[in-house]
Amino acid sequence: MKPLTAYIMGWKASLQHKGMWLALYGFNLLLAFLAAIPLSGFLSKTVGQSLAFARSLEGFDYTFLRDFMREYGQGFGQIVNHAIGYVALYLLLSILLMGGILHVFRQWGEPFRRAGFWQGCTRYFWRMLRLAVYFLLLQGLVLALFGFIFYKAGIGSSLSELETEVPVIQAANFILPLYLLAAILVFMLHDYAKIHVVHADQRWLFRPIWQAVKLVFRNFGKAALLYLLNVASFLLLTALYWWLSGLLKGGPFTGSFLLGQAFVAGRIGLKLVNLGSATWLYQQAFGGVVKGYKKGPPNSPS
Amino acid sequence: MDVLLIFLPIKRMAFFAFLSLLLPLPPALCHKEQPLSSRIASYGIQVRLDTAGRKAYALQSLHWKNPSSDTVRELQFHLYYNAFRNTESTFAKERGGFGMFTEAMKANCGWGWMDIRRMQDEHGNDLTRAMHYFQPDDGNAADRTVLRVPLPRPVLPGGSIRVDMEWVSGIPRAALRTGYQLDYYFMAQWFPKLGVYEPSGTRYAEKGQWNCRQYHGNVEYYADFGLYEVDITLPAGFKVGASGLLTGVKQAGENRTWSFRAEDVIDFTWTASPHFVEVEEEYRGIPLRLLFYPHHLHLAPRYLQAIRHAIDFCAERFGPYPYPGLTIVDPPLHGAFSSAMEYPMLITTAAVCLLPEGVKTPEILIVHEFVHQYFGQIAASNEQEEAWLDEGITNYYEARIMDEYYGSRTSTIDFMGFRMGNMESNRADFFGLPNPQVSEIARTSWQFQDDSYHTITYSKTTLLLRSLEGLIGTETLDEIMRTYFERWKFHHPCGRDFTAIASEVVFRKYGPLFGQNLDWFFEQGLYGTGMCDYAVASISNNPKPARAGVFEDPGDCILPETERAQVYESGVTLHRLGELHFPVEVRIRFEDGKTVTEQWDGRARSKEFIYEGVSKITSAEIDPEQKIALDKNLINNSLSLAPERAGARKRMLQFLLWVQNVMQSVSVLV
Repeated sequence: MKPLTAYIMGWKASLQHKGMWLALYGFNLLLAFLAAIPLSGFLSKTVGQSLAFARSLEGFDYTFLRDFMREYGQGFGQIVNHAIGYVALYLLLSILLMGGILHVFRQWGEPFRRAGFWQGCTRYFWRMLRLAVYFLLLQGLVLALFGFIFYKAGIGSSLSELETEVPVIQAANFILPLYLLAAILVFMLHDYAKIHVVHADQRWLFRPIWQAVKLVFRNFGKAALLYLLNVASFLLLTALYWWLSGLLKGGPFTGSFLLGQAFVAGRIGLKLVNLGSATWLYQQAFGGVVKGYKKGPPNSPS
Repeated sequence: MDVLLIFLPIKRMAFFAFLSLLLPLPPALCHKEQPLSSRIASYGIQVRLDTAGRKAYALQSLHWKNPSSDTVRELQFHLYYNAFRNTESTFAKERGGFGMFTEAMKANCGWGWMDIRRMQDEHGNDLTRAMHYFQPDDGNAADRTVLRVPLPRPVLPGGSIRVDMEWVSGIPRAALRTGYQLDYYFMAQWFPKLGVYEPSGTRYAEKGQWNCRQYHGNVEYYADFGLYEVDITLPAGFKVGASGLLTGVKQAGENRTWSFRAEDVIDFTWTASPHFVEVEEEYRGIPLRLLFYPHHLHLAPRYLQAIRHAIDFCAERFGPYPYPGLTIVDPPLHGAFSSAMEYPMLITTAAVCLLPEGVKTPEILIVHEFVHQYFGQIAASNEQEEAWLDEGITNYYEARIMDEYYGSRTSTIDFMGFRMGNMESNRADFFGLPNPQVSEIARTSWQFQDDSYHTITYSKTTLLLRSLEGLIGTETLDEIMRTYFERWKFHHPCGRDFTAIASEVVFRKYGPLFGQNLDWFFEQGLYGTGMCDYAVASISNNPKPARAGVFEDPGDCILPETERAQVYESGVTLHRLGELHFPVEVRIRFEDGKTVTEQWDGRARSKEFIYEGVSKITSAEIDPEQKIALDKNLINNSLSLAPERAGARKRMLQFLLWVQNVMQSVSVLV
C-alpha cells in the first residue's frame, strides 16, 4: 500500500537525518530562547520581590495576572512584541530551510551533506517564499469563503435576527469539517508544489502549482491518505502530550519543561516525516506523470 | 375573540360600570389574612395579546391607598412602553438607541408605545381629558414615559381611590428587556404603573411628593407593593409564565386565558411562547417552574443546582423566601433582549446550548436574579436613584454565593486552564475601567458618565462590601444585611437607612473599635472616588554597632567584643499611595521564622515599624489575608528580601515553550 509505505519511508528519512532534525529543533529553541530571555529579568525586576508573585507560581492566578498586566502591562507588551519579531524570523527561517530539507530528501539513501543542505536552502529560498505567499493568500481565500458560507448558512442576514443557536451549531458541524478538508487540500497542494520546485528546478511557480494540482487530483486517494496519516500522527502526539502533562501536573517543573521540549521536537520531527513521506510518494508514485521531473541532484546554482 | 370589541359600542358610563363588576374588588376587601405588605397600589388587569397586530389591549383597575397625611390631588403613572416610541425618548438618547435592535426596529416599524384611551375614577369622573405627559428629570418634551393625572376629587389622607382605564399598547420589537421577537413575548414594564407617593420622612422626602421618574436607560424599578390579579388572553398554543401563581386557565374558542395572582409585589411581568417546555420542582417548599426552549432542556440540572444554592444561602442568612413560587425563564437566542432580568417571582437567565460546564454564566445570572428577590424586589429601594442598594448588594452576594459553591478561583470561568472567580472578576472589572475614579457609587443612575454605571454600581459596591466584610468579619456583615432586610422588607429603604444599620450593628458588636459609626468608611467608599493602594516601600536590616564605653559603673568599661551576637536594627516602611484609608494588618517575617503581625490604622501617608534583634527581617506584607478588596495593586502589598528568581525563570521557561509552539504552528503555513 503506497501511502503507508510512503509514511514509513518518511520516518526512515527523518531518522536517517537526525542531525537535520536536531538542527531544526536547535533553531527553534534558540530563537524562542532569545525571545523569552528578557522576561526573566523583567519579572525579577518588577514583581520578583513580591510575595504575590511567589504565590502565583502555584497555579493560574487571575488576580495576580490582572494586577500584573495593569501595572506592568506596557513592559510585558514590549517583550511580547519582541517575541513576535522572533516568530516572524522563525517563519522566514522555515522558508529558508524548506529548500534544504527537500533537497536532502530528494536524494534518498545518500548521507547528509551540510553543503548540499545549505545549497538547497539558498537556491530555492525566493521560490519558496513566493510559494508561501501564494498559498497563504489561497488559505485566506478558503477561510473567507467558508466563513461567508458559515455566516450565511448559520446566522443568515443579521445576528440580531438569529432565531436560535441551533442552526449555527449545525452549520458549524457541517461546514467546519469541510473547511478543514479544504484547508488540508491546500496544504497538500503547497507541499507537492514545493517538492516539485526542488525536483523540477523551475523558476516560474505556476507550473509547479499546476503540476501539484494535477498530481493531487489524479492521485487523490493516495495523497489524501498519506496526509491523513500525518495529521493523525500529530493528533496522537498532541493527545500523548496532554495525557503526560496531566500526569506530571503538580510535580517538579523540570519534568513538565522537558516533556514540553519533547513535544516541540516531536512536532518538528513529524513535519520532517510529512515532507519525507510526500517526497517519497512524489518520486515513487507520481514521478512518471510529472512533467519536468528530474531524478538525481539538482543543477548547480545559477 | 377580543373582549374589548364587545365593550366598544357601549356608552362610557355603562362601560365603566360593567368594568367595575368585571375587575377584582379592592384587595383590602378580599383578604382575611394579614398581608406581607401594606398593599398601597393594587391592580386588576385583563389583557389580550394580539399576536397578529403585535398589540396588547387591556382593561385595568388600580386601587391606590394614600399612605400619607397629605391630600393628594394628582396621580403619576409610568408609561414605560413609550420609551420605545421613537429615537427621541430619554431612554433611547441615554442608551444611544436600542443597541443591536435599533436597525431592526426602524426597518420593521417595531416601535413600542402605550395609549390610554379612557380613564375614570370610582365616582365616574373622566380623567382622560386632563391627563398629560411631563418630564420631571430632563425636560425632554419627546419623552412620554410619565403621565400626570389631575384628580377632580382628591384623595384624602389615609383615603383611597379606584381608577379604571382602558389602554392599548404597541409591543416593541425586541427592545431592551421587553418586547417580542418571532413568537416569543416578554412583557416587562408593560402596563401603566403608578409612581410612588412618598410621605414626608420617607427616604429623602422632606414633604409628601410623587416619585415617578422617566424611564432611564440603565434602571427601572421603584414601585409600591400591592396585589396583582392579571388575566392574560392569547392564542391557545401559547404557554405563559408570570409573576405570581397561576390560579386558572380557561379555554375560550381559539384563545386561552391564563389567570395569575401575585401578592405583595412591586411589579408584574409575564412571558409567552408556543415553544416553551416546562420543568417543575419543589425546593424548600417553593414551587420552581423553569421555562425553556427545547434545545436548552439539557441545561435544567445546572439551573436547578444554582437556584438551590441561592435559596439555601439566602434562607440561612436573611430568612426564608417569602413568595409562594418562582418562575425561571431561559429565553431563546432571539429573546436575548430579555435575559438577565429580575422581576417579582420571575427571573430570566441566559445560555446557549453548547455552553461548557466551566462557563458559569447561567448559574451567575440565576443566583444574581434570585438575590434580587430580597434586595430590590422586597427591600424595595429606589433603583433609579440608588441603584447600588439593590444591584450592588445583590452583586456582592452573587459573588459570595458563587465563590462559596463553585470555588473562589473558578466560579465564573473554569475552562481549558483559564480560571476566574466571581469576586476576582468584579475586581478586574472595576480596576479595568479606563478611569475608575469617574464616579462615586452613590449617584443617580442616569448621571453616570462614560458607561461607568454598571461597573461602579455593581463591581465597586461589591468590592466596597467585601472590604467591609474583611474589616468587620463575614458574620457581622451578614448580620447587617439580615437586619437591613428584616427592618425594610416590603418597604422603601434608602442608602442612609443602610449605612445607619451598618453603624448600629458594628457598634453593637465591637463598641467604638471602628469609631462611633461607619461614616468614615462609607464617606470614602460610597460618596468618594478615591483609590486605595498600600505598598511596602522598603525593608532595612542595619547592623547595630556593639555597645562600648562606660555606662552605669564608671569603673566598668564595656568593650565591643564582649557583646558577641550581631544585633540588627530592622525596619519596614509602608506607604499609602491612594486616597482611601482603612485599618490594615501588617505581617512581618524574620530570618529565624518568627512572624509578627502589626496593626496599622492606615491613615498616615507612610508608616515605619522598627525592631531590634539578632534576626533580620526577610519579608513584610500589608493585608496578608487580602481583606481590603479595594486595594488596586496587590503585588506591591508585599516585599521579600529573597527575590523569587526561580519563579521568574519558571515563568520565562513557560513563555519559552509557548513561543516554541507558536513558532512551530506558524511554520506549518510555509
